[in-house]
Amino acid sequence: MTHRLKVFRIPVFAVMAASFLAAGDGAARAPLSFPSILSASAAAPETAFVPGQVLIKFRPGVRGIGRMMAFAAYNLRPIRRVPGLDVYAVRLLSGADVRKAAEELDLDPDILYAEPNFICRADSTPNDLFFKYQYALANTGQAIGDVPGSPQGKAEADIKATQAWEETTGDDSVTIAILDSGVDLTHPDLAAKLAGTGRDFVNSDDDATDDYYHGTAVAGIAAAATDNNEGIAGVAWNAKILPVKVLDATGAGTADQVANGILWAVSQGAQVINLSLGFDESSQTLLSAVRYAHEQGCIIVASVGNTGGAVQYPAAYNEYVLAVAATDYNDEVLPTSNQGEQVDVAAPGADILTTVPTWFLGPSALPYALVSGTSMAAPHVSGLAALLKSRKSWLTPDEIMAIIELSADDVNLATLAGKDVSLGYGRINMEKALVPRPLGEDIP
Amino acid sequence: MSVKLGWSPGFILGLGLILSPLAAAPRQDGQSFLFQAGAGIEYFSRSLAWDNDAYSSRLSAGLGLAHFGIVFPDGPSLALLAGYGLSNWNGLVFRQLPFSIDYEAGSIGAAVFGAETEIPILEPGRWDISANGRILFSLGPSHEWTLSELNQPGTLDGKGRWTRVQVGPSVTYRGFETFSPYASVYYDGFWGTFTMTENIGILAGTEKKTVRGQGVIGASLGVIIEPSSAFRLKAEGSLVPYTNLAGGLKLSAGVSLQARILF
Repeated sequence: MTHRLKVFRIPVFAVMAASFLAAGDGAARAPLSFPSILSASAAAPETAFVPGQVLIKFRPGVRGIGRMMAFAAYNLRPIRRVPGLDVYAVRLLSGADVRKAAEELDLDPDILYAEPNFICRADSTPNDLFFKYQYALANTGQAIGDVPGSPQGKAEADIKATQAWEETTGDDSVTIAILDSGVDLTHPDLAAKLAGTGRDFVNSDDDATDDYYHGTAVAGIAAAATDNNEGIAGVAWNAKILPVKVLDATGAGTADQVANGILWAVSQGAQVINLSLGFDESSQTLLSAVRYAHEQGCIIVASVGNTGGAVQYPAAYNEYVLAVAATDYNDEVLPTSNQGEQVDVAAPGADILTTVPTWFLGPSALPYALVSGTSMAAPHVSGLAALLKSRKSWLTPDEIMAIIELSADDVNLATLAGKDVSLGYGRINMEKALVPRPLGEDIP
Repeated sequence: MSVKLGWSPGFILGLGLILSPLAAAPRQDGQSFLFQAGAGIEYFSRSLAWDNDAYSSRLSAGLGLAHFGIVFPDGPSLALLAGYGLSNWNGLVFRQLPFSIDYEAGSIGAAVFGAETEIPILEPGRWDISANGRILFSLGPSHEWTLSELNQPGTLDGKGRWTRVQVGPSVTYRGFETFSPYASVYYDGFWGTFTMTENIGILAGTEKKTVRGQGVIGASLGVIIEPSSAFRLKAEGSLVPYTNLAGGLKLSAGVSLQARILF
């Protein structure tokens, strides 16, 4: 009997913007030199308004009876008033199209203006120095990178992190296991977040130090130390990171190493397991490990792969794993993101600014880089899963997977409506998943 | 009646006071009972605290009530109330559901019934001092909404109920011929529940939120207009001061108008 080890390479292609990060290099513009770091803030979505309500201001001279007649004529029910501005908040007939109604009211000669009652929400913006480059968390249309010729992002093509952080930033009772090439245990943006030194299944010891770079990059996206005036923000501010080294210094690993890593992570109490790795073929061992973790209450998130082909394993284990594709800063699918029915959701995975090992770019560079691939998309989803688990600890993995799926934005609606092989249900939306949804007058 | 009242002292006192005219009515020969019938409208708002006083929101309610009762010899009266009310629960947030829900759906209609009583205690000069009690129950049917912004439509089913108990003395000045101003101070207890059930695909959950009114002592000023001995109009304004969760002093307000005939 022959024993065949399945060897794989991690499905990521990295774009390192070393010049962008080189500190003290006169030719490069170091991010620290920008004074407006703290001003980065995500604006409220333009389409967010109170269902069934518009604001009306009458023209001067239109008073008592005239106003009442207008309310009656349009079936409007005044509910509030802004006395200082003489503006009314009025309720429309059930089911009325708010924008259309506002446009129609605007045409009435007695009405100076009518507009939807827009919703604002205080955003929670962390003070991390490089947060303004993290378009995936809050895309204001900023340049992706800080060198001439950097592409421009599309505003709102993000996962609505700042809005969701108003609801929760998670807590340290939730641990995300990063099954990868390890994590830089001394990284300034990660060291305080680690739940120990982890486990190394490549070298069979208890030191999961990253000797590649990939695991450190994934860990930073999911749960870098946040609001610490340093580096980047993680999706799950307060979640712990459990480093589990299952990939070697070349980014390769085996099914038994990954399976061992999964079982160990479960035994350590990890509630979320991130697998930014993939096999071309299915493995009974891997499937058994994934199934076991799922049954133990773990939410398993995996990247779909970057070959442009079929969804890799374990992401393809649809019943147990949330399979994550990658989008870019315009909410468009990353061309290399694998496709298939198993794709559940997508998250930004193009030019993601994240942590890299302190040794990776040399002693003169800051340990952050732009990295691309579905491997970088998956930890955004893991971070969201950790926040959901923090907020609602009673939810099962299936329920958390369903919440993430059902709250995703169908960003390719125009070409592939509904769940599709490219982005699944769509790009995740942390706000919809976490922030209480306003229940308006949507009575059937 | 599934509203949990916890048998608070106020509730027990209210029930006792409402039933007391039956015991207090003197059985004197030659004196007859009078019946009273009428209708009234009222509006009140109350600040609510919920989730162990971690959060607050405001309930406002508009009620239309029919009254039917009896006036016993020497003045104690007991009336039953029944009608319809619109209660606005906006601001309640349900975080125990799979998708958290912020209730902003406005008013929900519900049947309202209850009882009220007035027992004369003292009549020094032109003043009347009486004890008053009132209990109201709002028992709403469940309402359904759709949640359509997700990738799979969901349904939400909500049902709100509340109980209000007011007990306290009032002082009425009888020095004018056709109208009598009055003032009262009273215990004002408010309790309620709102149960929300969510169903979206495999996601299902129910959250029953228990609320209580902030502030328990209210005061009112009103006037009784009696153009004849058989007809009475009563108008009243009331305030319930309370301390909000931030520590500031606020007021909840209410107004009511009643018309009654005696026969």
